[in-house]
Amino acid sequence: MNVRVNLLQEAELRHQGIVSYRFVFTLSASAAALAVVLLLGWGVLRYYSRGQELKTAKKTWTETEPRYLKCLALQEAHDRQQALADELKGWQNSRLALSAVLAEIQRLVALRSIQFIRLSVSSQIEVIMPPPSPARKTEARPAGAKGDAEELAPAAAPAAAPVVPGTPARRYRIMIDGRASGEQAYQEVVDLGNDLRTAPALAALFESVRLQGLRQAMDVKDRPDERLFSIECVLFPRKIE
Amino acid sequence: MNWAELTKEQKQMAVLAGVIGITVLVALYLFVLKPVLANADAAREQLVRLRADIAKADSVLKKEHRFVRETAELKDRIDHATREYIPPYGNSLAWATERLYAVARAVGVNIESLSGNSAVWGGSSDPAQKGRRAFVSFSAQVALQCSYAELQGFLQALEQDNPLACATGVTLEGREQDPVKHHVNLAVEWPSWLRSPLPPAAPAAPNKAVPAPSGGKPGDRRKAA
Repeated sequence: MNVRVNLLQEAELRHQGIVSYRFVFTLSASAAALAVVLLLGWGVLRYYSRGQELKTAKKTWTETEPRYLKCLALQEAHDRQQALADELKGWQNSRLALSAVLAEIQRLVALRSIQFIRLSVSSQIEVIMPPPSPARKTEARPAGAKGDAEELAPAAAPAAAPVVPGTPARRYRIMIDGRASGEQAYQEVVDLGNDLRTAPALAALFESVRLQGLRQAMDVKDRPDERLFSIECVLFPRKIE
Repeated sequence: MNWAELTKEQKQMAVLAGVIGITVLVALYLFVLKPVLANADAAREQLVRLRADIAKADSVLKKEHRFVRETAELKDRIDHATREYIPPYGNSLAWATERLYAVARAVGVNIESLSGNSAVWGGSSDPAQKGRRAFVSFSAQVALQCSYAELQGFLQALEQDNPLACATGVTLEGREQDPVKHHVNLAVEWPSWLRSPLPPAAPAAPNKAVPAPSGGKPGDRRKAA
């Protein structure tokens, strides 16, 4: 019969593991304390590091700011001058070389038995909105401009860049009232309209050429073939920008 | 160390030490670490803003020479246009009269009468755009008696004389008594300063219709206006 006598009291029993509880406790406490110290140190270091960087940046800014403000003032002056130059350029762009247009009209009329009674050129400023679809291309035109008159034919598209939304533009309108004579007076008028539309010097300028009226001249009873006519030419808007 | 062997006082001291330790840690976090980190964050934000400002300033400063050069060029162009092509502030009609009569003389056209008025031009439906404008349109209405060819010549000379002169309206009507000479009403527009380009501006003279000259020189007409 074996008897096991435990000579050690319970409090005297030692831990059987690799490291003692005391060591684990001491290590944990030290690690926690070290972590706290490191954390604190990192925070303080970061604070001072940022402070130093901030100080350097402030110094740089103090040196740069006067030049920067001066440059901003210069930029503002530049922008003001540029705006003035742009405004004048817009004005110049919107200008129509009317002498060349009148010369070309005269050249076309000289080919036919047509005499002018009245020629008027008018212009107005309008704001061009973007066309939502090709069908509404002429939306910007003032009301009543098209009327019920016969449109001879659409003119060629302009070579200019597309009009920006809300761009002010100057639109010219030329109204020609005249008298055509001869047996084919009406044909002369229609041909003049076609010439106005297709003439190389005018095709890029004219958006539409429309015959507004053609009637017998009542004031000359001995010449029944004579016709009075009105042709309206609407030019493409010329952007003011 | 055995917890069970500790006396009551020792256990109380141990618990107290633990509580104090935790309190110290919390206090360190709350009153030291947290403010330091907060300050560091604030400093970082400030630094980021400052660096962005410096970068922005650098990018603007790089253009400094270009601004100087272009501003001088633009100013020269505008000064030249102001001297040569734009009616002087407050004296537009006299200037226009002189120019139009000079052109008319050059092409042999007779001006019957001339009047003028100013108006803000361009984008009338856009008040913001209108407010930005530096120029108004100065318009001169000219009555002429000339042939179609002479009108062309007059317009061509006007266009060549001044790239900003813009013929905005022409009415040409035949006359019974002289089929060659026509009644011509012509509207010519120029950009005109809305405000004086020079700080001490002279008071603007009212624009009035100028009757047809009777052999006088344009300079005389300007004095009358």
